[in-house]
Amino acid sequence: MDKTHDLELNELRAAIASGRMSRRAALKRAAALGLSLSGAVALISEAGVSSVRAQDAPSGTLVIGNAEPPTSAQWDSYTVFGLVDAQVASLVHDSLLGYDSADGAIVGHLATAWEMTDPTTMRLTLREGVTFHDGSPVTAEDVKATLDRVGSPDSGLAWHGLIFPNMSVNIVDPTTIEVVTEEVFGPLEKSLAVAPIFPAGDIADPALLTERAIGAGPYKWISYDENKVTLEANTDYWAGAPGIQTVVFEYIQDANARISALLTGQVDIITRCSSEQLDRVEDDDNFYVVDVPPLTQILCIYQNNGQLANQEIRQALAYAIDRQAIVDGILMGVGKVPFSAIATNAPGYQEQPERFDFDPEKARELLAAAGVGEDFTLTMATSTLVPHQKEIDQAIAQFLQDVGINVDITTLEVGAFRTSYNQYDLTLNTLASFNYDPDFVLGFYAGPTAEAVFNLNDPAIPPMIDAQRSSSGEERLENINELAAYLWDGQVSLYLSDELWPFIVSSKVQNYDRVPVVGEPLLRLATKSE
Amino acid sequence: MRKVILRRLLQNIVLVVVIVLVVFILMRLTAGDPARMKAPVFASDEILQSYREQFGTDRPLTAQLWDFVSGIPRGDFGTSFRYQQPVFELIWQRVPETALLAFTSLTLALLVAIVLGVAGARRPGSAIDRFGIAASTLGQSAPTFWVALMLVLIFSVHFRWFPAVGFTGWKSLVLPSIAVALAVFPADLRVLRSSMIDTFHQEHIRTARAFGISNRRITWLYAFRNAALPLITVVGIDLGYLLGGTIVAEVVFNYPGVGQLAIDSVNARDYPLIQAITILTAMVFVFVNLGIDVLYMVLDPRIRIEA
Repeated sequence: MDKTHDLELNELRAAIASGRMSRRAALKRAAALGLSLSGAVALISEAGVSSVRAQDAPSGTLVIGNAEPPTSAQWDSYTVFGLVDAQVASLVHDSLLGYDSADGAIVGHLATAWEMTDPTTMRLTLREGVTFHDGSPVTAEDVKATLDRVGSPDSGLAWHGLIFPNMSVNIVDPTTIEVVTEEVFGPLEKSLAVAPIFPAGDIADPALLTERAIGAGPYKWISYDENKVTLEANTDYWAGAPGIQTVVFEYIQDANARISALLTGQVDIITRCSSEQLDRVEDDDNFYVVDVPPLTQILCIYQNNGQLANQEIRQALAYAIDRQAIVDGILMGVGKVPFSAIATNAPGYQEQPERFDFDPEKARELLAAAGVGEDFTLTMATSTLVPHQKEIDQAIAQFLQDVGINVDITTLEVGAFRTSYNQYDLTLNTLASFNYDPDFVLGFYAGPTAEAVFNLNDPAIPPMIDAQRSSSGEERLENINELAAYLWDGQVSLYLSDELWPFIVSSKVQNYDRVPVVGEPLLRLATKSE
Repeated sequence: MRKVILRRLLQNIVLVVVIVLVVFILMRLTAGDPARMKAPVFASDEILQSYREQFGTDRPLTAQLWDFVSGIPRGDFGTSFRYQQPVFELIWQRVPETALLAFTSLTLALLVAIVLGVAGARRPGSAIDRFGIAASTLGQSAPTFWVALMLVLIFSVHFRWFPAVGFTGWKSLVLPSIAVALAVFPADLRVLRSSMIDTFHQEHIRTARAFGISNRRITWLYAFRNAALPLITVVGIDLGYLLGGTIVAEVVFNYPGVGQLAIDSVNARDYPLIQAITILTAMVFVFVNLGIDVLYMVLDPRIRIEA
């Protein structure tokens, strides 16, 4: 029995090393063989690292087809929240902390050790001998320049306030720094794991970032033209050269063109696929699906200033709309219905006792109790920003009409929709966290952003946001749940579904996996056979 | 003739100025704030304001208009909001691919129109004439995006003969050119066919026949040269179809041309880029048609005399 077990483990190691098995499949297999989670991760890590190191040199070209281009032709990651921006940043730049495996565990990257020396101070030891792509060393000054900038309240950077609070960096000695936040900041570790470190020269002159990107990551930025961002392997990467020589992020606007490009082998991976695209490769051994999303939700945003300021009416809407039917019938099961205000894969997610399951009778009762008459009408704007948006909106409108609520739908072009969505009572949208922390999305429910997005100004929310930010461990998870439960019970929005982000991958690509962030930190471990 | 050309030139310049103003005003009237297009949906007002300042869209409309208009004579159409590059450079990079696609599509359309149109006119009601009419009906009624999708499914996905997306060489031109040509050739074919039939009934052709000149010589030397004149006018109109058709084809085939840039710029409310593409496209259309009118006068003495 023991011998058989060892043989199976060896086979598992070989399968991982050869790239025949994805990390997630390996984790499941290891669990089936009775390994503990840490044991399984160690085995996968050992086998995975050897698989990359066993290669003579990076080889092949991997093309990823995206439905969107970079936000703009500049590479200042701290100013943008686009998919491609995050993909490029996660490969070109390295961060103090990062991800090396699909289990989402945070490990040291440019920092080899880190600890909280007090509730607002994290002390980090920097890895020595790491260089940027231009050959200059990564120093404590570079780290300080990068993080001081995003930590400054006057930075004007989009990331400030959402991913980083007010903070600064003290250099203790050339290899030791302290990140000091003004207030206790629970998500700090996760935020540092997605924060690219730039050369101090680029921070001093951000105009340079409109021309190129220089980082210390596994890939070098080469060019951006004709809607393609091209990266080449950095063979001097401190953790070993990546498996694939060239990575191209190609913007292919049309959904049919993207799947055609995949089917003809012109691209190797297409991202954020629709259920129709998944149908095209169902039962096709030439492709497999990886669907690890960041914390992403599809919401029907309510404007909380008009008729929807009444909590009973919002709750009635929740009972009136069959969310599971929408996910099954329109999203073809690509999505997961949550029973709380955060995505089901978010740390701290707990199913709430009141599930607001589909119950039109209860919806009518609540509406009657709220004194809603027959002329009750809600305005809705629809567009094509969210996958299947028009179909979902029509379904929502029908469910609401079934309980006596009139819905006046206006169809807007995407640009007009993005600009004027908050002038309508109901609008569908997606909300994704960029640092694998629910704080990112919970932060939207307070302050000027809440007023702009939801027309919401609820004094009960900011203290709860502060409570989860300023705690850690189990206590923080409880605080996250408390706030999520508050938003859920009040049905501040309609929390329709998680967004799954299915990526279709050519089977020529091995060892491709994702962690729940927007970028591609694990892509350096992938290989491709021709 | 010189007077006529000068007058037309002035008319066209006025037309382009009107287009410049209309495009500028229309873009501002259309809902959609470029700052909101660039920022994430949940961006704060400070971030939005900083983008507006960067783009100059926070300034009075008259100031924006003056900046825009005063730059045009210098060839300065402004800096793209999204790409942060001079828009003329961006467009110029894409012109060769679009020009190549337009040229091959037009050549293909004309070849098909001439072969089928002349053959059909020589024997009206024959099998080839019926085929030509059927093909032109199909071409006119089938939307370019549908034709493009079908071509991709059959020749790229199924047979793997041609690439489905992008521009990687001559093979990338085949399917988009066919898709665009299919929409363009019907008008050419119909005009040429009817013009050829008319010409075949004219006295000089009858005289030529009486002299025993060969059918081939009569067709190409006497009839086609006369009948082709209206075709030149239609080619000018084709240009409009080509500009529209290439946009659709460029999106479906992810072909890196000006059309795709135009769609992206509209989606991003990239005012300088939209303005420049619209104005340059309008100028091409207007001045190519002026060139065609001049060519018409050169080729047809009757029109020269009337002018």
